[in-house]
Amino acid sequence: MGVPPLIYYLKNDVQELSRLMDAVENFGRIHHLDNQTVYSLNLAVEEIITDDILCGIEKDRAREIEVRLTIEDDEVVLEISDDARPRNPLPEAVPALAMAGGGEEAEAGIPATLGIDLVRGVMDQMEYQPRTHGNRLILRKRLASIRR
Amino acid sequence: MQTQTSKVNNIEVVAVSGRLDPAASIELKKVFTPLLSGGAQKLVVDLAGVEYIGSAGLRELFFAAKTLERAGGKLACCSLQPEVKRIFDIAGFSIPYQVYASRDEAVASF
Repeated sequence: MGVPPLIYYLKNDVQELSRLMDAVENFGRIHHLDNQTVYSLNLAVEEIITDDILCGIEKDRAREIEVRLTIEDDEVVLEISDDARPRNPLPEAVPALAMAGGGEEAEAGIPATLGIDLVRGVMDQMEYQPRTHGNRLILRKRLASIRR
Repeated sequence: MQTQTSKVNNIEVVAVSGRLDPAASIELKKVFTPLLSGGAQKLVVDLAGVEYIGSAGLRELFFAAKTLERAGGKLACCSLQPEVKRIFDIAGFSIPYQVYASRDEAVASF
């Protein structure tokens, strides 16, 4: 309570991802989050949004992704919502690895789920919620300590 | 992200610093491509200055290593910060490059 959220809107453009990651780092600095937590949040942002841009993309209309970052009690909550067709990325996510690679990842032996596996490794909880016109992912990470 | 390329004997050394996010990974590929197509066979990637890497960055390291491997060469990474090392550990798949604690160790491995 009392911690203003970070709310960020971005189009389905991977170049915007760097600016969003800057904003996440700034949020971490303001709220004295430790480096591991900020790293975990940025990793989740990279992998989920890259997957969203690559797999949920609908080129015939502009899409918008909303990212909301809040601190609730002893955890940080990352919500990523879009207006794409309903699609749960958790079991099938194609990671950022696929950005420039096509099918060569599989051929080279890189797991197709590497990106989401990394996110699972750094976040404590992930939940998918389908919406009437889109998708929402809620990711949570417990905070070891917060210096207010 | 910034990169600095140098040569120690016949070993190419690319020192990377900053955040290796998807946009930076595309830039890193542009650094690797001329080295690999120019016939480099020994490549050290010094990650001492890298504070962040995700799967896009891992991918570029992976494919550079694979290209070198096919050419009979080798890629060695070194000097990982603790959080970056944690991501390498979580990735856990059989990465085709070796990781060393320091640049000197990586160079000496060839």
